[in-house]
Order: sequence, then structure tokens, then C-alpha cells
Amino acid sequence: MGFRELSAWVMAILIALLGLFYINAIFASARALEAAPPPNVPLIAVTTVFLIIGAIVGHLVAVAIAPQDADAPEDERDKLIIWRAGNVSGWVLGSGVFVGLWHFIFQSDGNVLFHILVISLILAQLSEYVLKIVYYRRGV
Amino acid sequence: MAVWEKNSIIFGLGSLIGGLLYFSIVAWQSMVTGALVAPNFGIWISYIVLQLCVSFFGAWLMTKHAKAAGEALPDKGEDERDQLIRMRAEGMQGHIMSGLVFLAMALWFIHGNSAIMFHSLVGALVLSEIARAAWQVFNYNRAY
Repeated sequence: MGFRELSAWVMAILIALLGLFYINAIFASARALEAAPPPNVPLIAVTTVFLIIGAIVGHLVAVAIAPQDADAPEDERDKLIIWRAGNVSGWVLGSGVFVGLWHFIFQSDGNVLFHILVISLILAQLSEYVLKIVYYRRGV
Repeated sequence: MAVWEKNSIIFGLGSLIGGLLYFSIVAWQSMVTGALVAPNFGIWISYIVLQLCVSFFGAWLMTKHAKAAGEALPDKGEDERDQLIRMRAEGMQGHIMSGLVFLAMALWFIHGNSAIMFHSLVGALVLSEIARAAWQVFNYNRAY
């Protein structure tokens, strides 16, 4: 397995775990309040710090496992995979933003709009890394 | 100019015109009320309808004109190059949109006004769509 695929695995696992942690915390808070909670800045900060630390540690491990192509520039296949995965990820984010805007038009709840945006960003990034793995496994 | 290149320009123009209408109405209503106008169904739907109408009417007009001029129209959709150019442009659109979504969320934190976040998100949709069209046209012209 090459460095770029390992990197995609690291980021996909991290985003899935931290995304679940974040979404679970928001839903627990919503159940307790019986309404959409406001954005939780400490929760966002903690999740971001864990994401950064996890990404650094994960990539150090990936470099140790596949040192041969860690510094290599992207080849044509890598570029194609990045473009294809980025394309789908953009659509996921765009759809999430659109859903959030429609929800706001009918409910006028800025808290819900904020949470929809965060969830869309998480899903967009997750879909990008998962698709990169899929494209690397099946050779584009 | 290729049909898909013209199509990109038309969809970019649709977004530009729709966005200009949206922000003109927001600016006008805000000046009348003296405060940033809250998002409402009327402005939002007028943006969507205008964008769709300009885009689809433009595409229909372009096809009609191309047929009248005897230009060859693609009968099997996009070829490999068209797909590659579209994927690159849409990927870049996603990155621009991510950045602008973060900015909209930050503005909400700073101002505590969800109307600002909403209008910023509409701006993100408009700007990212225009950037996509521009990037697509640029890549067609450098013969990628």
C-alpha cells in the first residue's frame, strides 16, 4: 500500500471517529435541551486539536510504513484520483449547504444551520478520503 | 468554442445574474429597513428561479444557434477531456466552497447574526459556481 493510500486511510478513520464523537455530543446536548444547542466552542476546539494531533501522528506512522513514496510528487494517477474524489466531495458539501439553507428558510434556526454545515463538512471530507481509498484499491 | 465550454459560461452567467439579483434585493431591503434584512422565501426562491431560467434558457438558445449554424453537437455527452476538465473544476469549486463555508461560520461567531451566515452562504454558492465556470473555461482554452 502506497503512502497516499495510507494517508487517506489515516484521515478517513480520524474524521469518522472524531465526526461521530462530535455528532454524538451535539445530539446528546439536543436531547438534554430538547432543542438545537448553540455551537459548542470548546467541543469544536477539542475535536480540531485531536484531528491535528491524530493527523500528525498518523502521517508519521504512514511515512514509517511507506517511506519510499512519501516525498514523491503526485503522478497522473494520483492527480486523477484526487480530482475525482474532490469532485464528489464538492457535491456532498454543496448539497449539505443547500439543505441547510432550505431548512433555515422554513425554520429560521441558526443553530441548526450551523450544525448542518459542520456535518456537511465532515461528510464531504469523509467521502473524499473514502473515495480516494476506493479509487486506489480498484486502480481508478 | 466547444459546446461544453459555452455551457460552462452560460451556467456561470446564470449564477452571476442570480447572485447579483439576490444581493441587490438584500442591499435594497436592508437600506429601506436600516438593518440587514432577514433571509426570506421570496428572495431565496427568486435567486434559484432566475439562476435556473438563465442557465437553461441560455443552454437552449446556444443549442438552437449551434444547430442553425451547422455546428456539430456532441451526441454522446462529454468525452474524456470534457470529463477531466469538469472534475478538476468541480473539485476546485468544493475547496472554494469549504473555505467560504468556514468564513460564513466564523462571521456568525463574530456577529451572532444568523442572517449574515445565510447571506454569506448564498455568496459562497454564487462565488464558487462562478469560479468553477471560470476555471473550466480557462482549462478549455489552455487546451488541457
